[in-house]
Amino acid sequence: MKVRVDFWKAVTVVIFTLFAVFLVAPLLSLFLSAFKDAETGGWTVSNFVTFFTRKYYYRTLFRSLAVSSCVTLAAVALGAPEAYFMAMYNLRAKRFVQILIIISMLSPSFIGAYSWVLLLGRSGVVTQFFAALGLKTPSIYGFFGIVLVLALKLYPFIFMYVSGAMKKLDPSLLEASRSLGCGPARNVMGMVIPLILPTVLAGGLLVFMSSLADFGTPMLIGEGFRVMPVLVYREFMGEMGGNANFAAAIAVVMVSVTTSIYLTQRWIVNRLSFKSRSVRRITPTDIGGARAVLVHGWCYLVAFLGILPQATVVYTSFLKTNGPTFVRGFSLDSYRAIFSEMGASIVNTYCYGGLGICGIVVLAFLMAYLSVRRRNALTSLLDLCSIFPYVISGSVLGIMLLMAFNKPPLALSGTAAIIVVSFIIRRLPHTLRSSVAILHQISKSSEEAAVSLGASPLKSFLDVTARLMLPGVLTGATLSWVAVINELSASIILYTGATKTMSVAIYSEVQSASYGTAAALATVLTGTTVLSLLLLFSLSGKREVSF
Amino acid sequence: MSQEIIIKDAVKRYGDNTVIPALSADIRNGEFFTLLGPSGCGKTTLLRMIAGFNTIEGGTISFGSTVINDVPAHKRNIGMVFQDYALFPHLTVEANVRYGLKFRDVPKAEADARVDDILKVTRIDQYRDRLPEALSGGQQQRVALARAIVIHPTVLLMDEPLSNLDAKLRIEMRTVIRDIQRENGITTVYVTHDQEEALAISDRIAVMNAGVIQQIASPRAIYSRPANTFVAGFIGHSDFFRVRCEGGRVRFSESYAVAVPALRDDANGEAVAGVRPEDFCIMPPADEGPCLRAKVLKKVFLGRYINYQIAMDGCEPLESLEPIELSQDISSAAHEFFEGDEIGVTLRGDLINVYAADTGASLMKEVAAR
Repeated sequence: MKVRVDFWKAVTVVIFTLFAVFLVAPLLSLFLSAFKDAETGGWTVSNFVTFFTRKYYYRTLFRSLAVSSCVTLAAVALGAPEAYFMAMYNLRAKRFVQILIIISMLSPSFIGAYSWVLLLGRSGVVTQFFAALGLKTPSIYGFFGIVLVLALKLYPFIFMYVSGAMKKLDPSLLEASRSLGCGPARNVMGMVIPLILPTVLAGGLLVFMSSLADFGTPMLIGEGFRVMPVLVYREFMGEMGGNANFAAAIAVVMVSVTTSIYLTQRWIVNRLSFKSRSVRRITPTDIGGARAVLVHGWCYLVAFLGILPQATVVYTSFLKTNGPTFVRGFSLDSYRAIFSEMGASIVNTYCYGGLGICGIVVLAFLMAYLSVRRRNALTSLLDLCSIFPYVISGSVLGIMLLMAFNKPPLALSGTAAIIVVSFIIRRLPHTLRSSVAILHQISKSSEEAAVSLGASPLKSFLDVTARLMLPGVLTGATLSWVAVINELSASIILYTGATKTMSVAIYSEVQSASYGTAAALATVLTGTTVLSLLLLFSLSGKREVSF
Repeated sequence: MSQEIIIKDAVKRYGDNTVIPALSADIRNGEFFTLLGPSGCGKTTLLRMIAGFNTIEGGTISFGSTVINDVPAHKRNIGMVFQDYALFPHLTVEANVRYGLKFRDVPKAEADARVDDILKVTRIDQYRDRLPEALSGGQQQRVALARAIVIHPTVLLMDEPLSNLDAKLRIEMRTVIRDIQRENGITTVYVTHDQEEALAISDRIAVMNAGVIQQIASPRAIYSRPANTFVAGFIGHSDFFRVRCEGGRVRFSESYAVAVPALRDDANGEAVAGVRPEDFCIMPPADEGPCLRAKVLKKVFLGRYINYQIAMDGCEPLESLEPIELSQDISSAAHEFFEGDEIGVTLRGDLINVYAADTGASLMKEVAAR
C-alpha cells in the first residue's frame, strides 16, 4: 500500500507550524525576556518588582482598568437602549441611523480622538464657541476625554450584539409573561434583560478589551494620563533607547490581565447562556406622543454623537489650511498634499492590507474547516491558539514580533512582511469566527455527497463546502479588512520610513499638527471603509452586518 | 457494473467503545437489501462503513472480489442518497445530476444523454434549471436519486431517504425508488427505522440491534417466523406468554393448549410463545369448545381494526405489567365487544411462534437467523 498524504493532515501541520513560529514562539520569548536583566542578561524578577513597587508604573494599570470599566459601562448605557428601541419600535429613518452606527463602529478610534480635539480641544470649535459666551467646557484631555472618545467609538459593538440578541428573542416569551399578568416595565426587567444579558456581557468584554488595548486615543489626548499600551510603547521605543526587557514585563502583565478577564468572562457567559429556539421575530410597533419624541431623540442623539468625529474629519479635509490652522474657504489642497507627499503610505496600506486579507481568508477557510469538521487534539490546540489575538493587544503584538524577528534566521523587522504578519494575527479572529459560524450551518452531507460521486476530499471541499462558506467568510473578511487598514497600535511599533501605512501617517500628521492632511488621509480611509461595506452588501444581497 | 457486497467480520470501534462487533452479511448482486433497527443500533454506521465515510477497524468489506477497506470513499464508485438529500444548493438540478459524471471519463454526448434520460425517468425534467431550494421535498428526493444513479454506481446506498417526507409522499416515493432500482438492477443497501417501509420495499431485510444482526430474511419470513423475541417485538407487535411445550403441543393454561405443527421436535418444557394481535380469535364466552377466558380493559377504534387491551385468566403474560393487545378486523367481526365485557379467546397453532425461555431464540422448524 502506498503512503498517501492526507490533505487535511498536511494543512493542520502547516498551520500549526505557522502559529508556532509567528505566535507561540514570539510570545514565549517575550515572557522569557521579561525575566531577564537589561544589562547583565541574567534571570531576574526585578522588572516586575519595579513595575509593582513604583507608583508611576503600577498606577497605569489601575488607570487602564478604570478607563476600560467606565468605557464599558458608558458603551452599554449608550448602545443597549439604542438597540432595544430600534428593535421594539418603528422609528423614522431607522435604516439611516443603523448605517451611521455601523460607519462609526468601523472607523479607527484615534481619528475620533483627534476630531474631538478639533471640537473640544483647547482651540476647538465648541470650546471657543462656549468660551465666547463665557462658559467653560470640560477638558477633552485626560481621563474624561479618553472615556468619551472610546465610549462613543465602541458603543456600536454593544448595539450590534444586542440587536442580534433582540432578533433571536422569542416574542412568545414576552407574550407569555404578559398573559401571566406581568406589566410592560417588569417585562423588560424580568424577561428582556436576563435573556440578553449573556450577549451584553459578550459585547461588554469586546468593548473592555478594545479599550484596554487602545493605543491611539490615550496617546493623542491622554497627555499626562498614561495607560498601559502607552506605557509599553514609551518604555520600548523610549527616547533614551528604551528598555526592551522592562517593556516585555509590562506586556506580560497586560497579557495576564487580559487573559484572566477573558477566561472569567467566558466562564460567566457559559453559565448564563441558554439555547432558545425562536420561530418568530419581534415586530416593531408604532409609538406616539411624548414617548416617541424621547425615543427618537435618544436614538438620533447617540447616533449623531457617534458619527460626529467622522463628519468633522470629512468636513475639515476640504477646508483650506494654513499650517496647523484651518482658514476660511474650501479647497482640495489637503488631498493634493497627501497624494504628492504621502502616496507611498496609501499604496502601502492597500498592498499590505490586501496581502493580509488574502492570508486571513485562506487561514480562516482552512482553520474553520479543521476546527468544525476534523476535530482532534491538534485542531483543538489550534482553537486555543486562535484566542491569543483576543488577549494580545496591538502594542504587545508589535513588541513581541519585533523582539522575535530582529535577528536571523527570520530577520523580518523593518520589512513589509512583519506588518502583514501582524495584520493577519490581529485580525484573523473576525473572519475565523464568521467562517466557523457559517460552517456550523452547512450540512456535512453535501460534502459527503460530492465524495460519494467521485470528487476527491480537496475537490469536494473546494466545489461544495468552500463555495457554501463564501458568504460568511466574505462578511468576516470585510470586517477584518476594515480593521486592518485602520490598524495603528502594532504598525506604529513595526513601521519604518518605507513601510509607513496610512493610519501611521495620520497619527504622525496629527502629532505635527498638520490637521488638514490628517483629515484628508482619514477621509480616504473612511471612504474605503464605506465602499467596502457597500460592496459587501451588494455581493451578499444583505443589508446587515452581524457578529 | 453492479456488484455483490460481502461483509466479513466487520468491526467498528470508537476508542474503547465497540459499536459493531464482528458483523457478517452477504448482499446479493442486484438485491434490495434493507438494514432495519431501532435508532442507535449501528445501521447507519454500517452503511457509512460501506460508503467509506467511516473507517473499518476489523474484518473486510468487499464489492465482488475487491476488498474495499482501504479504497477512499471517492474511489469506491458508490451512489449515495442522504437523509437530508445533500443537494448542492448552489447548483441547478441538472448541474447537481451532472456533477458525478465530471469525475468519470464519460464523453460529453453520452453524459448529456444519460442526464436527460435519468431526469426523465425520475420525472424532474421540467425542473432541470431550478435551484434545489425551489423544489418540494419529493422533488428534491428525486434529484438526489437521479444524481446517485446517473453515475452507474457499483452499489446504491440510501440512508433513511424518506424520513423527511410526509406520510403520503413517503409511500409514493418508496414505489419510485423500488421501480428505479428494479429497472437498473443495482445492488442497494437501504437504511430505515420504519418497519412498514422495510417490509414494503425490500427483497431481504437485516434486523439489527446493538450492532448485531438479529435476522436476515425476506419480509414475509421476518414477519411470520421471527428468529427471536427481539425481532418478533420490533417488527409489528407480539404478545408474549409463558408456556410449556409438551410434545408438539403448547400449553397456555391449565385448561388450554394448542398443537403447533412447525414446533421443533426437541422443544420441551418452559418456553415463550409469541402471538400477533391479529392472530387471536375472539368470541363471546358462552360459545362452545376450549378457550382462554379474558376481560376487555380498553377498546380503541382504528378504522380497519378495533384494538382491545385485555386481561387474561389462567395464562401468564411474559411482562405481567403490560396489557395484552388483540386486534379485530372489523370486516370479519361478528361481534363487537365493549370495555368490561367477558370474552373467550382461541389461538391458531400455525400462526404461533415459540421461543426458548432463556435465549429468546426461535424454537420453530426451518427458522435460522440467516
